[in-house]
Amino acid sequence: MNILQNRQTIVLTSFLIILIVCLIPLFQLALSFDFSVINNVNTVNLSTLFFDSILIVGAASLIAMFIGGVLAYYLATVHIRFSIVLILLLLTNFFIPSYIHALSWSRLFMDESILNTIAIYTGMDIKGSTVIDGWFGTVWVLALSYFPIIFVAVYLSCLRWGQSMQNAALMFGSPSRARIIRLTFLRVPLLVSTLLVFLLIFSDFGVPDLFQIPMYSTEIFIQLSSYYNNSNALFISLPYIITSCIILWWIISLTKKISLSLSTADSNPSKVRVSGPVSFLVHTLLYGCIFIVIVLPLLNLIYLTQDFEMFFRAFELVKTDLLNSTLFAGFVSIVIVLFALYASYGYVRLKSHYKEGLRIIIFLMLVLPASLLALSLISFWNQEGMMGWFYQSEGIVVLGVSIRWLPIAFEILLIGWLFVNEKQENAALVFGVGWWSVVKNIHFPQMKPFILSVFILCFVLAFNELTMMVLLSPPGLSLLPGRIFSVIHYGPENLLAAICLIQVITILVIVSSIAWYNRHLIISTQRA
Amino acid sequence: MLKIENISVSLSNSVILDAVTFNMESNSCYALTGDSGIGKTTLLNIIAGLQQPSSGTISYNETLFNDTNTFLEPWLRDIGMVFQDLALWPHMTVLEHLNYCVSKDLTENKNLFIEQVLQTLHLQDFKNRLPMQLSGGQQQRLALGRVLVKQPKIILLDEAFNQLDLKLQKQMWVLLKEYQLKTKCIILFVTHDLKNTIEYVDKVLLIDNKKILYKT
Repeated sequence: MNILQNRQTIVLTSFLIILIVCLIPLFQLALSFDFSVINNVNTVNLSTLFFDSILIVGAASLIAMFIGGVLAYYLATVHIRFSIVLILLLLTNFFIPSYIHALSWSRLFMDESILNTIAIYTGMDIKGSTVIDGWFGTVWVLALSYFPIIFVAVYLSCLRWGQSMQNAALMFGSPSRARIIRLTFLRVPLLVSTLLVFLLIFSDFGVPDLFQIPMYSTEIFIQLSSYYNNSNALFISLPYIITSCIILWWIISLTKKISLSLSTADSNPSKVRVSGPVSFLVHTLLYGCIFIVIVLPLLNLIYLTQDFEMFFRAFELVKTDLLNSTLFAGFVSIVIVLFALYASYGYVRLKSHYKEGLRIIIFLMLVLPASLLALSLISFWNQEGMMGWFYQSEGIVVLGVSIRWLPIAFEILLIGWLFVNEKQENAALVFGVGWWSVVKNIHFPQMKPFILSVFILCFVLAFNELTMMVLLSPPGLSLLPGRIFSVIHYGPENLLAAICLIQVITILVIVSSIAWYNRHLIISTQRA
Repeated sequence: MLKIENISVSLSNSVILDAVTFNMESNSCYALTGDSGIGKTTLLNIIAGLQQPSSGTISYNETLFNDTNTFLEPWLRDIGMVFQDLALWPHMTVLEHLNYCVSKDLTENKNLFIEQVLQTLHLQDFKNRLPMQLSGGQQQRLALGRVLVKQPKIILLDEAFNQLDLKLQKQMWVLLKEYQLKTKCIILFVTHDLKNTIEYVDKVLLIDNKKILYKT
């Protein structure tokens, strides 16, 4: 088989693997659908659930868009003191799972909380206040958990606005008009990231479960775990899947516009310097916003832990879970990175209109509710013999979490492959000494930053994954999110806060270590 | 001698090249010309092994490059190529480019040889720069440098000098001719600018109506 045929083989095998691993369990689940549930479903309840979910998710996405968009725009375009620290703090927020945000915010007005203590100290009476709860709490916490995605997208897009674009914009109008043109440039990334956040919030399980708000993700989970009603779960998922597919189609059509303008960046225009009252206002707004959004919930967790002794007791209790979670997340990330690299390479090198099929199949895994995905895996793998052995092992959790987060890795690596175009590869084939020399000298050095970002991202997502862990974990496998899930219901508050803090610290330490170890890579990527 | 026999290429049910046949003698320089989109780059890619023809045979002396059962990988064909958009590797410096491409038979004095090529191409002061830090002309010289350090028997140039001024074009041609004198290689040069090329080539090949027409 020659090199040209090899490229086609990569495409075909990646299709085949996805078909076997992801689609066959889903087909099997669809085939086992019991049509009698259609008559028994209360359509009024279903439509109420649907519209309530859409309202909550829509509101949270809009708030996230506002917070992420405004912060990104100001930090990228205005000269702000200690902006690097602020950006790092904002990124920190991304690594904290939504259910830990929910835990911290829901306990912000408790008797033992930091706010209540400050209020008592200052003579204010906020005791018994339950502002961060119910619908409002769900929308607020979901928005705060996911806005960093929008922040990153808009911030990076702001950096792609080059000096030549600024000059061109200034030539055709006033500075305010140039600002409007710049804002329209940010429209597409803002919309794409908001839609992506909408999808992620739609599938979030931890926050609505904690605030006990009926949403799609929790309702499907209840149908599975409490009533063991697969057909009902499948049926009520349909409006969810259709909505997600429409949003997905929208995202894909919008991302084509972004990739077309990838090569437009040159040096950035210098940041605007503000002074006097405007500077005070902007700095207060940004510092205040970041304090409320990130620092306050973290401080509350520390305060709720009460003392170091509790922290160390919690560490003793969860150290095995912590090690399991770290090893598990590391292994899952490697699996996802390897397969996403393979499939995304096949996708970019395939010259066929049908290749969109591969992208849609992969993305389907993101739009399906995690509980439904887990259900399809359970019903497919829970058999006698070898399949049963796999089902009883940790492999089923690795498979479930890998399938769930593969689309994100695939999309990021697709962007990476845009920089390693076929011409470069052809040149390397002509001048090199074989396929391996191309991979080692051309592909890998250029893809390294993307591989690293995908690894970190998948590590965080796998480490924090809750739904798949709860539904698929075999007996004996104890992971940190599962431990938090059980302590929420049965454990003391200070222990819960301490475990959450341990999870946050672990993720931050691991991610910062990887980033620090590869700092030269990050700096060279920024320069490039 | 490079023999191209009955090479046909079809893409999406439309025929690009139809039973193209021609030979190229060693120590000769050929210009390949024709309208835009007529299949000049496709033909170069097929000779280099970057694209497979629908049918036909390509061989160089005793070595079979391509037929219905055989496909010799691009890196085994002893070909050097300057691509239309140069296809430089953005993460490699000038020196790293040349180190990657330098002939694998050259074990001794490799560094000295690379230094000589850098000097000939006036790139010695830029050897630690990335392609994005070079001007258009310097990038084109680097693309040619990759070919020279590989010391191939067949050189394919796809509009290689279109960003260079006439003086520099002349210098590059002198360089190529010197190299050809030493190695007796075949040069195939795709161009739209016959006026400034004609004095350096031995034969002009014209692609028209999916066939090759010879001109002297």
